[in-house]
Amino acid sequence: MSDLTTETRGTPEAAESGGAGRRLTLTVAIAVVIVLILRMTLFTVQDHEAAVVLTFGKPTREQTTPGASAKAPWPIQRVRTVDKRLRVLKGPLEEVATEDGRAVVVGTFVLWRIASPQMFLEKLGDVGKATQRLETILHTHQAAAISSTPFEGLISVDRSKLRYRQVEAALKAALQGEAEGLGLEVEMVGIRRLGLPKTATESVFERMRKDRERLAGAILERGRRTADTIRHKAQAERNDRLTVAQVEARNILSKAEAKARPHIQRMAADPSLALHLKKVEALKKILAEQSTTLVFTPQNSPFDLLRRAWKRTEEKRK
Amino acid sequence: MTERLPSESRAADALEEAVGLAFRVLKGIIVLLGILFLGSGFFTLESHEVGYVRRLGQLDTERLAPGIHWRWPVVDDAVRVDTRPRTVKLDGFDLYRTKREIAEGTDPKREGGLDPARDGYLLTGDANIVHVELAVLVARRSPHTEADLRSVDIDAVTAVLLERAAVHSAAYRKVESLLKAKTSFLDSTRQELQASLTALEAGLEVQGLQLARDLRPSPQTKLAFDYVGQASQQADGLRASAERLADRIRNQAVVEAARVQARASSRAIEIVSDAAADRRQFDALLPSLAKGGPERRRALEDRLLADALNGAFDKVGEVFLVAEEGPLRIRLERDVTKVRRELQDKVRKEAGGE
Repeated sequence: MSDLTTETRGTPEAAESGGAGRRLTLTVAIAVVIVLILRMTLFTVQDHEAAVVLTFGKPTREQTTPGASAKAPWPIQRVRTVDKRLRVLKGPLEEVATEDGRAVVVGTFVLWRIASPQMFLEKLGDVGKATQRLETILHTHQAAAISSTPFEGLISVDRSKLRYRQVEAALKAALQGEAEGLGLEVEMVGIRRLGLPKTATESVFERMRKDRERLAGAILERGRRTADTIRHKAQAERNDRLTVAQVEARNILSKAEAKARPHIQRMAADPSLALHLKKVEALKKILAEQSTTLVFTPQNSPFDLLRRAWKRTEEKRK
Repeated sequence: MTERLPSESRAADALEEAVGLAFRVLKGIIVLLGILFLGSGFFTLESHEVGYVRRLGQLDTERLAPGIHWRWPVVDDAVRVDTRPRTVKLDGFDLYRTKREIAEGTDPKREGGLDPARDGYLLTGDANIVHVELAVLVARRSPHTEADLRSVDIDAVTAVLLERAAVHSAAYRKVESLLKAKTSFLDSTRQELQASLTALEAGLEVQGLQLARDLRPSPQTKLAFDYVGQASQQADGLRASAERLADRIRNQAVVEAARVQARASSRAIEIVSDAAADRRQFDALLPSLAKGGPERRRALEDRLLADALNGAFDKVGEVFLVAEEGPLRIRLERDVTKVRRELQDKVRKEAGGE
């Protein structure tokens, strides 16, 4: 067998392929070892993360800048990464009394993030516990913040009386003070919901209905008054216009009479003739316009003109 | 050196060949794996995406356009960012609806008060209640990764900030002005939301804010609000009717005034022309009267009368000339036959008496 092996090894081709194979195997083996070593001693931190290096289970170092870093292989050191981005905590709705004793239902929110990963892992350990702690802190301070605010600091038609900014700033300051010791940072606290207890909303609806009834009545009354004003104004305009027209008419007639006056004055030279002519003219007009029954006596002017003719007729009859 | 037996030589050759083949195959596999490894570095970006390469955890600032790109596998990560604006809906200020009610688009029935744990609403500045559903359109600001680097869930952050902005915007408005001027409410809510996002450096831009469901009062007060609407319509109707009547009155006044002036003008012309005509007639007659005495005057007057009466009696219906003295009785009777009979009887009696 050994001779056979010697024989096999002895040929030049066998020697060449055997050497190449060994080199390839060695290369692959070295590459695998390098990769394994890198895997065990390097870790990367992404730009939205922070990492804590635990040496034998204890946090010893923080890595907050993104990039690759070195560590001892497991079990000496291992890495815990945390997401340091902003998170939302929505607090539950709670009934709270305001400074002036009005009950309101308030819901708040907190925008927070992990600021100190090492402290966070030491004090809390995971995001769930952080959320629970923040909720508890929020509950404690929320009632205090609202109870030191009057009702019209939360809703008022006078915008200058609203105190949302102050309430939210006070809540943020209170939460931040406690969150710092847990490795957290509170970026914002806000009121996301404001309501009233159920029984209070019943009386709100009753008031709204009564207000609407009053408003509807006022609107109708205003409409009627406006309509009356419009009509009266139009009537007054009509009267004014007619008055002006009548004055104009009188002026026109006065001017006409003034124009006619010289003719009339001329006729004063023989008043009897002038009167007779007027009577004849009147008689012509009456007889031209009317086609109905006329009843008169000779006493009536201008029918007194007929008196002489009447008397002559009577005398002839006698 | 011992000589090999022929059979031993063949076995050695076969083994040598097998080993050589195995190494060639192994080489081939390694080359193939290498190609696959490098090939896994290719990635594509869709038309609505931009891309960044994260190398050892750190983002490269170079923004990659849509298309095909390559990066080192394992070492580099390809980060895709969808640049399309996203819509965040907020129904926290609306009544709770069942699936059926949502499908039908109807409001649920409610009586009595509202449980804030179930039904949402906005409180107005005059302590009234309205419901609304909002939808906000937000887009990532450049660099597009800012939003995702800033918060774990950008939709959740947007939603709570929108709730806060809406509560603030409603808190000083009266319910009437809120329901009438919805655009103003949306504008102030949008501005407050954008201010909050900018202050937080959230990397988001508000592109629009709309009413997903309209601002409206609760079912418990809907009828009362409708009543106000009806009263407004009625009042408008009264005003419009009064305006129409006023227009008619004014127009009639214009016509009447014109008629008065026209009548006066016509009468004025008549007065002047009549006076002129009378004077002409007077001037024509006066010289002849001046020459004669009273007889001539009487004759002239009779002639004038005769001229006036000439032809006039054709137009007049009936003329009764009654005596100057004695009683005058006028009887109006519908039944002419009856009157005729009575007159005939009277005449017969008078004739019989004579």
